[in-house]
Amino acid sequence: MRHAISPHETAAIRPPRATRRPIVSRVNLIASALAVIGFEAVLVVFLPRILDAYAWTLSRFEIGPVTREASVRGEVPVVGFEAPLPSPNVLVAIMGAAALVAFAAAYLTRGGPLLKGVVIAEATLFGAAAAFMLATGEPPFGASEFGSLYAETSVLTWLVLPLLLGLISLTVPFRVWERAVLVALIVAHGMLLSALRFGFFAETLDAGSAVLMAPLFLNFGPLLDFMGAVAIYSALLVRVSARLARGEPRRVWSWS
Amino acid sequence: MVVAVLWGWVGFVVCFMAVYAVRHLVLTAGRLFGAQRTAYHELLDSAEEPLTVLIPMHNERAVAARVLGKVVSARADQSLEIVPIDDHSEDETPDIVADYASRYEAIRPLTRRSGPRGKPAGLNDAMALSSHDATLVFDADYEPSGDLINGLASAFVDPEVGAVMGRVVPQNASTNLLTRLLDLERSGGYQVDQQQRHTMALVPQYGGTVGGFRRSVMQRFGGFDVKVLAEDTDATYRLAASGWRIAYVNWAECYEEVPTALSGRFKQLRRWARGHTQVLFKRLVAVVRSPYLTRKQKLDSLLILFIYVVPPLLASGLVVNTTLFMLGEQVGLATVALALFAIAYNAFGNFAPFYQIGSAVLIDGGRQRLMLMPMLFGMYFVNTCAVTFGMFDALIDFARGRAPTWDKTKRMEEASA
Repeated sequence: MRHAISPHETAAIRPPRATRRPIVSRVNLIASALAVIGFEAVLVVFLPRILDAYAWTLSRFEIGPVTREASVRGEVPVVGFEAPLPSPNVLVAIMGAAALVAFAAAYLTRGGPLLKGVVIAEATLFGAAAAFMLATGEPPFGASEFGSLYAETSVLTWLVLPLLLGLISLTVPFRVWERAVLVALIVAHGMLLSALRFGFFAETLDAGSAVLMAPLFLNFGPLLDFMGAVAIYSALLVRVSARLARGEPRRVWSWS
Repeated sequence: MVVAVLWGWVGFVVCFMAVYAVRHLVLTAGRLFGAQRTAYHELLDSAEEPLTVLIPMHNERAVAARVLGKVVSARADQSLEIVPIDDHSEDETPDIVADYASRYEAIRPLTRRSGPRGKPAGLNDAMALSSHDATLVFDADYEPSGDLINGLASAFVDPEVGAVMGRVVPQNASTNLLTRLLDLERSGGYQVDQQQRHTMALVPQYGGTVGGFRRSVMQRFGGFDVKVLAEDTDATYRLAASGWRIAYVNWAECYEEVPTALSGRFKQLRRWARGHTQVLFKRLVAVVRSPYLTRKQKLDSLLILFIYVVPPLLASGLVVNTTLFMLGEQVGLATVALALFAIAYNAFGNFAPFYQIGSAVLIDGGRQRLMLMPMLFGMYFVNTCAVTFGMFDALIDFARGRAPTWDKTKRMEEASA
């Protein structure tokens, strides 16, 4: 039988991008889902050990004594540090400076909308933090309470992010081991970042004041973890894209 | 009591955002796993629909000849009519149009020197003059091929189709970081969102360019509303609520210029948000009460109508969360949830979260540009401010009965001239 197009030629036909979709096998899906859920289970089961390792890492920084605080997510390690409350005069000065910076960014600079937006938001955050402390006469958290909140939030992020990204990644034809690497990298990145950040927060608050608590936690807290996780996801997605481009079209794409 | 109210608001914002997260996950999974509906290109060999192409122009000397040259070569027979709408131009646009009209019989220019300026008013005037029911619209900076024009027109073979939309692809994506990020956004919006809405028989958006409508239907509705900045969105929900289908043709790709400066993007987004919110006020009840839309279509349409509420709502959640932090509340869980949504929903032009954009770029065959996805968060402040200002503009329009003025997008050719 003579074909109008030879099988060799059909194998090379690249489907139009308007209707194609990458092939994800059912076996891959099930194995990947099990791998992600299994990894999460291991994380939960070994959380006390992980927290021990986290405490040990924090103690290496030699910033202050590392104690354990009971929380809903186990006994989280907390670094001891001071976060002094500034005097009312300093708080008023911070509020004034923040207002001045926000005003200048809004009306005086020629910077683009991005720069203006960031400067105004940050100035407002600093001003509001100072205003709250001036009104209440105390910081929102004591140093150990803040440390506990930070550590708890970190642990929550370690538990949520790998599961979330792992399950979201099921829509993309990652190989099972790539998905395992994705989840492992996200957890490792989260833990390392958390420890380094804890050291940075403790040093900064120790040397600065409690006014910095809100800007530090809200700017460099979970936001950074999520950005890192998306970066890891993106980097691995490049591998998948390269594989799809290299692969024989009829084996990597389906279309309708 | 105050603290409880604040916690309630954060909970509401998180739930509201979660609904959108689920919507986008469903669309993404559907695009990646489900069979795709293929529009009407199988019918391209059938007799071609007689067609009118409208090209609104205002001071378009840099691009007028290019777009006319492209459109006029689409068909050789009498079934194509081209109406360039010279809308109060003050440059050489009228001369360029007159030159083409003298050479090609298919070109029947419309010159507007009185009445309100703006795209909807121009389209309404042109509809009164045009000959064919199937009508396509292209902005002057587009370069539509013949295949694209005929492919879009083929949707009108289906008598239920009231409007059709093609895919808009940035042609200046490699200009700078902003254009690259906007290219990612567009991929997510068209390759996954629009295509899956078409596949799932929801309501794809008619985008006002690289698309078309039935002239008879729009005229029966009284034409485009000149008081609405997003006349395309208004037409979409007006048609859908009246039982007409909107078709999306994913392979019909046309190239456009995206803003190259953040200030231009800010203005564009503010204008979109203002127009979209005007449509929300105007069409909400009609969509909810429509006897033609299914529950699924109504739900998705409502989520789309409310989509520009998302940025200010998320911003309010972040502000309230900050307040709770200042009050010494345990905000760990709320901060994690809000941070996730802030990172995920940064592409407010079309609200595609990162997993939707990643999947779309993967299907498109993109590679290195995937690495830019985390940088989309850099747009967060700009997008949130632009959309919030746009919504306030719309609220003032609504309260005062104010009509918006039209602002022409600056072309790259003009900027470099």
